[in-house]
Amino acid sequence: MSLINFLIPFLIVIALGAVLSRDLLGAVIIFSAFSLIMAVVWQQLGAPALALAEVVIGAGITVVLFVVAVCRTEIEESE
Amino acid sequence: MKKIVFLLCFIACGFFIISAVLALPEMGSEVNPANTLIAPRYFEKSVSETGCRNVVSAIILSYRSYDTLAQMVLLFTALSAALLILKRESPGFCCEIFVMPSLLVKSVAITFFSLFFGFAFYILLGGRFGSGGGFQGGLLVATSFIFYSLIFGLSEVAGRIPQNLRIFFESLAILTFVFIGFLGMWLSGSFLALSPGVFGGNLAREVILMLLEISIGLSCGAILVSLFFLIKRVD
Repeated sequence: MSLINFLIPFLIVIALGAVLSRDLLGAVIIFSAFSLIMAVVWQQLGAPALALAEVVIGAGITVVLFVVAVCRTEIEESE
Repeated sequence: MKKIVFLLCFIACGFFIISAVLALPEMGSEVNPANTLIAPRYFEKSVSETGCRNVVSAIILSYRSYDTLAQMVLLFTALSAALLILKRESPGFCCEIFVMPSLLVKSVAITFFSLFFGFAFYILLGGRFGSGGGFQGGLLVATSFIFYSLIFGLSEVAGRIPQNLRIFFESLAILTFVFIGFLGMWLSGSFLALSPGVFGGNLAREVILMLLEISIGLSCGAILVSLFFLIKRVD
């Protein structure tokens, strides 16, 4: 239980980092780290099937699709 | 003015959602019907009722097979919506500007691809005994092909899995589900009835669950590879 108590505040910090990041590619990578930590939380809560799905979807497919989408769009900064 | 209306709508929606959440039974309490009636039934009877040794797979494929069918329809609809905007690639689509990797990268990538692909089918078929199952296995199949295409280029993968094959696999899970559903309807009188006795014996039930699992996996894989193709290809 102590691992979860440590991981959930960490999850909130990572989520804030992904939302507030100015760099899109960086945000995608932080999001994959979020999915990885989330998978550990699912596994600790006793749901290994869900953890497996979270790793594959969150850290695998979503990141690949997001990275391709970021590379295909033009980035424009505005203040 | 517009902002005030928007804010009012936002507050009203939030109020309804939060009041709905507050009206739910308390999570984890022992008098909750989900904990007193449903969970013990699943744990005690899922093996004898469905033939799955893994409770999660038993729920996904037997008790909640309508949900799984709807999930496959959802994935298929997502792909259809994407295809509506970005057309399917023409036969001789040109690939992105692409540098052929060195021999070392290629041999390491081939080794990893074969390991990855084997692991994907292990997860796909092992869902009835351990954690895993159709969705996870199919996603791993798609990920291994995406990995292959990142190293060897998109046109190489397009040559390995022709477009016609992907079109066939994309709709395979829905067709299998509906076919087995109507089979259950014909044999027992209700749609998607996978209860024992309907399909006569354990072996037939095992085969049917395995067919459902494999078709879900192949469909998921084909849909995700197609989505990747849609985004990545250059016309």
